[in-house]
Amino acid sequence: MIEIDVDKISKFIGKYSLGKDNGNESLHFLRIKIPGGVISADKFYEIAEMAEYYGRGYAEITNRQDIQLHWIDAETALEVFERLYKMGYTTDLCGQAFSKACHGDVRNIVSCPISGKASKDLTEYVFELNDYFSGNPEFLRLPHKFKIAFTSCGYDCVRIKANDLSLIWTDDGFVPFVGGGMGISHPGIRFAESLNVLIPEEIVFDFVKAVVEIYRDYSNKESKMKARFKNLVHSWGVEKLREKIEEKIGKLRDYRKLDLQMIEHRKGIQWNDLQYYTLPLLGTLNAEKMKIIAELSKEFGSGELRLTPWQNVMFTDVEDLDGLKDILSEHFSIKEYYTAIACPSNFCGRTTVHARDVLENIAEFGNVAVSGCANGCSCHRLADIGLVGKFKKGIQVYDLYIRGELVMNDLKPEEILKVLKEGCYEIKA
Amino acid sequence: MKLKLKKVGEKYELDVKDMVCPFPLTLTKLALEKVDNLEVITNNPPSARDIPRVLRKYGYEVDVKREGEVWRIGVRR
Repeated sequence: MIEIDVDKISKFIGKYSLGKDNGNESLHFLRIKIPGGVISADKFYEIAEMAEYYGRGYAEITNRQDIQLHWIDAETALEVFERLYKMGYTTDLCGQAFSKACHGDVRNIVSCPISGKASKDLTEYVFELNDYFSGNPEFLRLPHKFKIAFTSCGYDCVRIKANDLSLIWTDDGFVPFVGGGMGISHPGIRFAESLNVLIPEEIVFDFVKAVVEIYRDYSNKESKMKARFKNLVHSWGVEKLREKIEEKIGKLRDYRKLDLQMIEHRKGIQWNDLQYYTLPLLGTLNAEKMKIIAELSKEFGSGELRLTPWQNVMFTDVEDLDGLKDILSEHFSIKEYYTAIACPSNFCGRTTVHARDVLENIAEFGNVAVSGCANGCSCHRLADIGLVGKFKKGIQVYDLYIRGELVMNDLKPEEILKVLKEGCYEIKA
Repeated sequence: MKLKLKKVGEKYELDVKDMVCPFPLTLTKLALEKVDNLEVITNNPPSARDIPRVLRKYGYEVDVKREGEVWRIGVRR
C-alpha cells in the first residue's frame, strides 16, 4: 500500500471546485461565491486580476450574485483556489456533472442588494449561513443543489419564486417561500410557494438549517431527475413540510400570503443620505472594466460594491452621483437594461445561437430572460418576456413565453425581434 | 491527511470517485510522483475527459475503459 500526502490540498476539498464548460474553447468555469453579492472594491479588483491572468480577461455576474470566470486550466486550479482562500471566498461545488444524485451543495446565498443600506440588514444571516454550510461535511452530499435567497426591501429583487427557499423580511419576521425550480427536472418548472408561517428573526438560522436537513434526509436520492427540493415539496405539500419543520424547531405562527412585485434596484437614497446606483451590464465584464468599477467605487463611494441578482453591479455610499455617472459613461455604453438577463449558454455548449446574443438584440424590451436550454438557468418563466432554446431537427430555435405563458413555439433567433416588435402573439386572458 | 493507493497486480489503483474537478486530476498527478503504473477510477465526466488529455500531453500512455457511469483510466509512464 502506498500513501499520498494530501495535506496541502485538504483545505480546498469540499469548498472549491471547477465546473465543466463545453463551449467557446473553455473546459472549466470558476463560480466564485460572493455571499449576498457584497464585495469590497479591493477584492473586486483582485478578481479582475484573476480574470486577466487565468480567464482571458473575461468575467460574468451570475443571477445568484457570483462572479464567474471561464477558460480556467485545471492544472492551475490549486493556485486559483489559494488566491480565493486568502480572500475568504469559496466556490460552488458544481456536482451537477455527475450523472447520479447526491452531489449537491448549498449554492451562493442571494440577498437584496440594498440590504443594510436602505432596507433591513440581512448580511449577518447570509454570512452566518454561508460560513455554516461551506465545507460542512454534513451538507456536501445533498441530493442536488439547494438555492436560498433573502429579501428585505418590500419587493422581489431576488426572484423569490425561483429558489428552493426564499425568506422575505416583514416587520415581524421572515415569511418563507419553498420549492421553486426553473428547470425540467421532476415535477417540471415550479414556483416557490408560501409556507404561510412567520419565522422570528432569532430563529431564522435554525429554520434554514432545519429546511436543508429535511431536504437532505427526505428527498429522493435515487434519481437525479427527482432530487430537487421542489419534488419533495410537490409530493408532500406545504402542510406536511411545515409539520416536519415544526418537529425540529417548534411550532410556527401562521402568517398571511405575500405577493411582491419583481424589480431591480436602480438608484436611490440610503439611510445615511448617500446614494446607491446600479450600473446595468447585461451580466458580462472584462478585467479592465472591473478595475475601473473598483476604482470608481473607492473614489465616489465607500469602496463597497453589491452584485445584483440581475447580473448588474451596484455602487453604494455615493455622494456625487452625477460625477460618477459622467465618468462611467466614458467607459461604459450605459443602456437602461436593468432587468434583462441571459445564461452563458455559449460556454455550456448547449446552443448554436447563444442566449446572450439573443438577449443583446431584445434587451430594450425590459424584463427579459433568455435561457439557452430547458435547464432554465435564466428563470425565463418568471420574466415578462422569456425565451428558452432548444433544437428542432438540428436547428436552433427558441420558445417564447410572455409572463410565464407559452405563446409561440420554435422561433428562429432572427425572427424573435420582429415578433416582439410587432407583438404578433396571443396571450391567453 | 493521506490517500491510499491499493496495489492490484502490477498496478496501483487510485479511487477518486465522487470527487469534483480538479481533484481527480490533482491526485492523479500526486500519485504519479510515487508510482509508474496507475489505474484511476472516477465517476466524474469532466475528469474522465481531462485526465487522459493532460497526461498524454506529458507523454504518459493512457487507456480508458468505461463501465456504466464509472471510468477506469489506465496510466503508464
